[in-house]
Amino acid sequence: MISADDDKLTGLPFPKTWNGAYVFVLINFAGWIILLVALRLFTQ
Amino acid sequence: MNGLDIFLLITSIAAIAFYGVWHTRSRRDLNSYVRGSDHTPWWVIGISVMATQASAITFLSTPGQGYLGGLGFLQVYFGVPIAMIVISLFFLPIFHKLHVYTAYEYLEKRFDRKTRLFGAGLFLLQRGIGAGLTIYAPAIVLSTVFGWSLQWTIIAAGTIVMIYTVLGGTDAVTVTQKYQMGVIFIGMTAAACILMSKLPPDLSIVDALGVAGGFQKLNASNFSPSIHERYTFWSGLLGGTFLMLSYFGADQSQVQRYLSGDSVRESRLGLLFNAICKIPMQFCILMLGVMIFVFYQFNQPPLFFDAASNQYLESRKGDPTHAQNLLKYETQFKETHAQGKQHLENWLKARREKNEQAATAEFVGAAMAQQEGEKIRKAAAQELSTQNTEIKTNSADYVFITFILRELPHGAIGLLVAAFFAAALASKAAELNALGTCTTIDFYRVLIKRQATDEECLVATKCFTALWGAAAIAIALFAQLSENLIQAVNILGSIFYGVLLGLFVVGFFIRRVGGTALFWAALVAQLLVFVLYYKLTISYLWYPLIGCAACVVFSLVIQIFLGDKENKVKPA
Repeated sequence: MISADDDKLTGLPFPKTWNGAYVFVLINFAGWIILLVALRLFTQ
Repeated sequence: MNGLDIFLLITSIAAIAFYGVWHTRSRRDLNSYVRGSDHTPWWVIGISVMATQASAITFLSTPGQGYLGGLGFLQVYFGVPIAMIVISLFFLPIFHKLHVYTAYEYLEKRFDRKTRLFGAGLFLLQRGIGAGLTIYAPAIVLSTVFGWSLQWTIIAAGTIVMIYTVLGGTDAVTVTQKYQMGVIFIGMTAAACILMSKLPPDLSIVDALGVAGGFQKLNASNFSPSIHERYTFWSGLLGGTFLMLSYFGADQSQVQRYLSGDSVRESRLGLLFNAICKIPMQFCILMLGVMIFVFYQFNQPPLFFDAASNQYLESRKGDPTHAQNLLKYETQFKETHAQGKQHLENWLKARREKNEQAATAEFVGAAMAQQEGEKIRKAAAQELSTQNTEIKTNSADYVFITFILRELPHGAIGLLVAAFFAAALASKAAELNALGTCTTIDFYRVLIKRQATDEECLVATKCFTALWGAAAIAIALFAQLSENLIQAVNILGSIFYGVLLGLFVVGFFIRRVGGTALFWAALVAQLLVFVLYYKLTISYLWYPLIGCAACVVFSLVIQIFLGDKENKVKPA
């Protein structure tokens, strides 16, 4: 039987919830933008 | 290519293709042929989605894009993370709940038949043309490597892909993509390692990045607000999000990949895997091109990268009347390159001695020599095109393959050519699979034979897949591209994808609009995009946003005129 909680869980050790997974994706994206801006600034 | 290269190429490609067919030999029903076995884990779905998008063009042409334009092209993919989250939240649960074969079935359940046919028709039109362009890329590799005619190479490559796809079905596509991505990963990693080992021994990674940065090759974040600049942070984030939303959410070749999961969880994780991995992957491929640029600052590059131009130049070397001007350009190009190299070596020395002033002066000298070299190249290309109008110099598509053939050892060459083929098969198989499925489910079973059994639909799907394969070959034969390959494919998608996405956005979020209003709105919006494309000079990344917004706004306006007579929301 599938409970309502199962819909919210990813089944992974990390991130455990779907909302956590979406936040993780966005933080990862922001990290890449910062890295690319830094790469541009420090190599010119 | 020697025997080892050919052995590696044939064994890796043939073994994966045969495994795919053998693995799926027991699948003889429509459901498993079209939707897969329903037991595909999330990481295989993730790889399958990635392999479908990353065609041979990605691995062949993108390093050339990095060589010529630097990392700026990476901004196209800034929309991927947001698009994947939106699809995971809104598109995916609905497709799974309705248990559809194609995304366009949803449009009939929510609106009406004509809206479904319009959506499916848009997909077939743009994906059918796109399929031709993606056959063109591996054909360039083969014709360059073996010296075959481009036409016969297109026919041969297209036929192999067609046979493999017709025999395979969805499950074979997914299973083989896993191993094909393995070959691609090994091949690209080997190329990157060999490239780094071939850079001058006294050039550190920081120095190499300094050279690339000094030549403006590391500008992957352009915050210019101009809509006329092709790649900016804003066009990537806003326009790119809509382009990726349309591609991953409304293009059957992708929808079919993630619907092969047995639950929303598996499909969702597969999409989020791509949300995280897509930007790093493209960064690495573009960086490979940037490092090839650095390599060629210290090693003599050819005057022309593309094989046809080089072959013409070589063939005319014994003919002084024809070759005089070209040979003069070649000599000037070599001299300019030698000057630039000397400046860079002096720059490195000054850097080590911490002499900032001398280092700056030397780098300016190197940059000027590089600019001069590019001018000579352009003039030589013009001279070449006046001597032979059939030769079209498009360096970006040939940079990486030229580097491979000139600099890599045997074995690695075979592995890289196998990687291009693996990529071509992976994406082509998914495209033809989706085209065949969409034609059967959305047209054959709706317009031609409504009472068709599953067995009849299975045969029809195989026949339509073969027909689309033949159509793709025909389109590739007549393709005349003025654009770099990877850009040409994205431009084509941008023109059609916005309106296609608009159909689904209205379906998911605007309950007051009915099928008739949406159908006419989509038609007008598509015409508007065509007109704007030919009239405006804005970046192509904005067209998916414009098409989607126009479709939504027009549908609301037309619905106001039509009134509330229609039953707007049909029970799904």
